[in-house]
Amino acid sequence: MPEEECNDFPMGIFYIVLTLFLLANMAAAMARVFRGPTTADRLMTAQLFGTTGVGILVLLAEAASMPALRDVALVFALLAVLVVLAFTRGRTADEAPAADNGNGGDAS
Amino acid sequence: MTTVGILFDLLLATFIVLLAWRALAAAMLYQAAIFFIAFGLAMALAWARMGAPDVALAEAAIGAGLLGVLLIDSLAAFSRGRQSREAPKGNMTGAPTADPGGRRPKSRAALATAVAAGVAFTVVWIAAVARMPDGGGLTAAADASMADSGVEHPVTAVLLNFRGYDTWLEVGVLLLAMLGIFCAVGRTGFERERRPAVNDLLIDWLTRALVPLMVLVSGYILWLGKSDPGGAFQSGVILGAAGILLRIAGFRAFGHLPVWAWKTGLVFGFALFLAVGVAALPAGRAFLEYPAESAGAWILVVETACALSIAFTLLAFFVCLNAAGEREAEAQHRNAD
Amino acid sequence: MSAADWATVAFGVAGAFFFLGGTLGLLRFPDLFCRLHALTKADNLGLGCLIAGLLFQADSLAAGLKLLLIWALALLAGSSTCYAIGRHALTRSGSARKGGGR
Repeated sequence: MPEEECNDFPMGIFYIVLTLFLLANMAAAMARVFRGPTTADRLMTAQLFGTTGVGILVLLAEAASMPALRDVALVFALLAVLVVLAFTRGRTADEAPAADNGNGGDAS
Repeated sequence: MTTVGILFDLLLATFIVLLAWRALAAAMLYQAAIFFIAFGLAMALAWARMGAPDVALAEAAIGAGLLGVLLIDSLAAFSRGRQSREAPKGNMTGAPTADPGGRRPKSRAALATAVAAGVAFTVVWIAAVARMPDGGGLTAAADASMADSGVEHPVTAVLLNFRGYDTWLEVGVLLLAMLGIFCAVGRTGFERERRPAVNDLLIDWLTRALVPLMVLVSGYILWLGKSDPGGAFQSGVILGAAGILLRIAGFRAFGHLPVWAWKTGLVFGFALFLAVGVAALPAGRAFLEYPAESAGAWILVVETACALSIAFTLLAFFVCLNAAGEREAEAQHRNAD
Repeated sequence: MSAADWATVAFGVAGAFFFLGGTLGLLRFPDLFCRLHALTKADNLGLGCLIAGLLFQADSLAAGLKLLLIWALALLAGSSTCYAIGRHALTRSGSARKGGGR
């Protein structure tokens, strides 16, 4: 059990309560993936998941005295932009508006 | 303290099962992709929680970073094609509202098969757990041989030395996957011109700032494998992600290389690993057994070659799928007009 | 508990507050642009405060610098994805009317 490794007992509790809180936040944010209504909203939730995950990882690294978890957090933070950019720029983004308006993309 | 810890584990486990289920059952493919990305993230947290930072690192790079890009990019291609073909629905995302691929099978036979497979797996799993040796199996044997391994981190010693052929074959699996993609969508898209980003200076700047950092972190993770969690796979994935970021932002990213150079890059790691393995045979050692005094150096050579090849392979995944998606979108666009 | 520990607790609670704010905003705000606004608070301040708190516990300069690098990367990623999503939404649809008039 990682908790037993930390020598400062009260701080250990604080870290694990904080990670629990952040995880609960993540679980709650899942509702936005269901509701959408747009893909951009869902991607934003993924972004929030990523940031919260980084937060949990740095806390776990401290709580369990596993500095390697900071590298995991670093990799997460480094690759965070990729998914969103793949979405917004994936398909020759510069011609996208014209193509969409031509099709009456906003029928609302 | 442990109560809160158990609470955290329970919530995480429930979250993972929920995410996996939603990723499989989501009616919308975009939704499924996002759930899958979140699933990768939650898995990385679970591995971290179980004290396996090596696996967490791999899961972070592959599950949450790379697979997400491949999924979202492919979806962006195909949904655009579909959008221009069908009548628009006033849905600004262009997300397919109902896709045949996203529906779960409803037939009774499928359900019965799933239940049978689940039961069979559970039985095998329980049997395997019951037969697990005490004292962590081969951990003691691996620990005893650490001095001969040439590295200080036990996981690297197992992956690159004691069971090097596993890793070698894993690189081979990636190569096979690449061949599968070649067969399915063709070998195109490698050579291309730079496409300057119009009105998007920020993305351009961001790419220029992030790519060198990614290369640096990739090298850091590779070097870290000697003494800490890290190594060729994680390093290769980050390097490949740097290439993908360049492509997304419109840079050429090796677009000036001829196809034969790409092919060389793809097989380089596998071939060098094999050559090192075979070179041990005439000297009277076993396949893939390094000379004990220079094992560390050999591992570094093999790992560097594998990391480069893995990066090339993953970039090629993206390039081929992206080119196929672009072709598809163009064809459908023409049909729509 | 030492003074450093108290600082960690204070910053940690502040970080948790901003994460909560980001999540609530993402769930409750009426349109995409408002939600973007809430999201970036979690990226910048939530993780920022958390890391500022953990800096008090860092046992070496390298560990502290790595934490700062993680935060800098999250800042970079957060603000540029916010820009990319906002721009994407503005150029691609009529929904710009709802939130575009700043």
